[in-house]
Amino acid sequence: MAVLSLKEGKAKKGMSRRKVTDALWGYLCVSPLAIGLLLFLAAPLFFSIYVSLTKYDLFNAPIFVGLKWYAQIFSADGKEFWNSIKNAFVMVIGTLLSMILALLTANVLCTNVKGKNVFKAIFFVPTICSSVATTIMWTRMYDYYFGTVNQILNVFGLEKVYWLDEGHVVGSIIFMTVLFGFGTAMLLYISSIKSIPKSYYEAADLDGANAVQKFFYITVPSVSPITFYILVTGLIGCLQGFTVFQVMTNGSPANTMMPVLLIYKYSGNDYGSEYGLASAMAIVLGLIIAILTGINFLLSRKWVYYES
Amino acid sequence: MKEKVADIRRSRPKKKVRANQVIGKIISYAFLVAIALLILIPFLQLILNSLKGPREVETDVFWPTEWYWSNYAAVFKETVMLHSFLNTFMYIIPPVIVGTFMSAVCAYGFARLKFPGKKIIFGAMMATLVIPNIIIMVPAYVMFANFYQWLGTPLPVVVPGMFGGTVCMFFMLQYIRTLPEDMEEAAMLDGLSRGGVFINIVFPLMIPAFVAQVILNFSGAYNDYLTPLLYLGNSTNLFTVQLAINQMNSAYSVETQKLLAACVIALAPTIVLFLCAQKTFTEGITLTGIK
Repeated sequence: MAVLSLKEGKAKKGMSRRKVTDALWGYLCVSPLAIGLLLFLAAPLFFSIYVSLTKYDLFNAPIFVGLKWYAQIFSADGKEFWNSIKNAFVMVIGTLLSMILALLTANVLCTNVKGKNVFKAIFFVPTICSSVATTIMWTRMYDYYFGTVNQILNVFGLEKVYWLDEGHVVGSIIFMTVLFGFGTAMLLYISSIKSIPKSYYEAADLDGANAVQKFFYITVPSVSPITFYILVTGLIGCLQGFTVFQVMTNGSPANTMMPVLLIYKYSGNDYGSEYGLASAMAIVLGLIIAILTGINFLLSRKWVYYES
Repeated sequence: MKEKVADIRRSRPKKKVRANQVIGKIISYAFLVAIALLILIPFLQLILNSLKGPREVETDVFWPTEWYWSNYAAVFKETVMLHSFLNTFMYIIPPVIVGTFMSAVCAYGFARLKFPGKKIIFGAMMATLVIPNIIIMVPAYVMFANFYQWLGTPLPVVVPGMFGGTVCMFFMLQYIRTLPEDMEEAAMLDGLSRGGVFINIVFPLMIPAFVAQVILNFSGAYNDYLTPLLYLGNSTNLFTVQLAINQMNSAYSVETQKLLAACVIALAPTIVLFLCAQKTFTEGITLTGIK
């Protein structure tokens, strides 16, 4: 009896020593990322709140101005900012279109067509290309005098078009971003369609359903979690859009002025280095995005865990 | 007689189905080829224009009459491109390799070790995913400029990434959870410390996930434009590839055909990487879903 309890005690002691060293190793393992997040995420986050309450140009000491910038954003002077948000929401049309294109291509690529992998590669490659380079490439495509788009119109005897003027630029950018961005959504759809049980389709076949019916009654409802996920991340992506707009139009015509581009400009020399205002705008934009991300995170949790 | 009727009944819909299938196939291929052409034509015109002469590039001739392969040599000789390439690789290799390793280390901590506050730390890390980079952009610039005194150096684009990333860590965590634990237990009984277990047993098993993340992070970092623009945008000698081609584009300092040649060069690394590691990219996208 006594011997037994002694043994148990020893084992417990061993366990607890292991527990302590394990805990130490645990903190050691986790600390690099934790420190990185504290230094380069948490610290700037809190600092950003402080800067947004001051007038600050980087060189002179910040002057505390309270909620002045927020008041400005939410007053008539904030029109510029809300316009840019509106412009970003217009780009959501592109998200919808690329979602539809992604679903259609994914659906076709899940049937037994030849050259599946080649098509998949072609559709996906633009999404891993440098957006600066692809934007320059498309700017050239849209060029009034030498652009390929106008050359093609010419072949069909149609008039040349200024693709980057105020009336056309939004459509031109949406066309480009849909075509060069739907590849990611396509891959998500392909993996989702592949996980639909074959028996559903076989049952539909027995009932005499045609391909269109099968698409709308089986495929579309089955991939709806992915659809929702793509919509929300697409919306967030639209609100964070920057490179394409900065490289292609740099914010003029005014309907291509995006929130991040505006924030970038306010922290530059041209707009008077108003770091306070830029920070306040960033925080308002960030809150909008954070709320959308939060909703997405909660609702897509199911899907994320199922996949992994 | 009965059999015949049944035969006709069976064969009729079959024929219809077959005809429908053929039409469906034709539509499918037409659709795929049309989309593929819409994607390939811009690439084709970029390559063709990059090989035109200085006069011809300013005309609407589609196919070059004379091929100027020298444009590519000129890009390396006359512009900051080569220098920018070296810069880019110097900036992104440390954060990609070290950062991915740190993410793996952190993931190991969460997957295998018990310590007080683990759940809270993990929750806090996952919560940072909600914070959009936009909020950090301006204050981080101010901090790098005034507190760290890092402006004019590449440190703002190198150092933060070296601590690892939350998305990458989460991916690694999912991977470690699929590995069997008994080998680690056995090694611990043989007297190996936790650090030894990670280096000698767990990390070698994680190599596939590590390589996949390195490839994905590399292509992400290589294509990143906003971060280097913010922190290095004022000093040409610190330029990355993305900044270099954008400057050639906006300043009209370089002839069009050379700018376009520079774009082809800038596009090459990630496309080559994709062709070599196609599976990694497609699987990485479907696993992490994003980013």
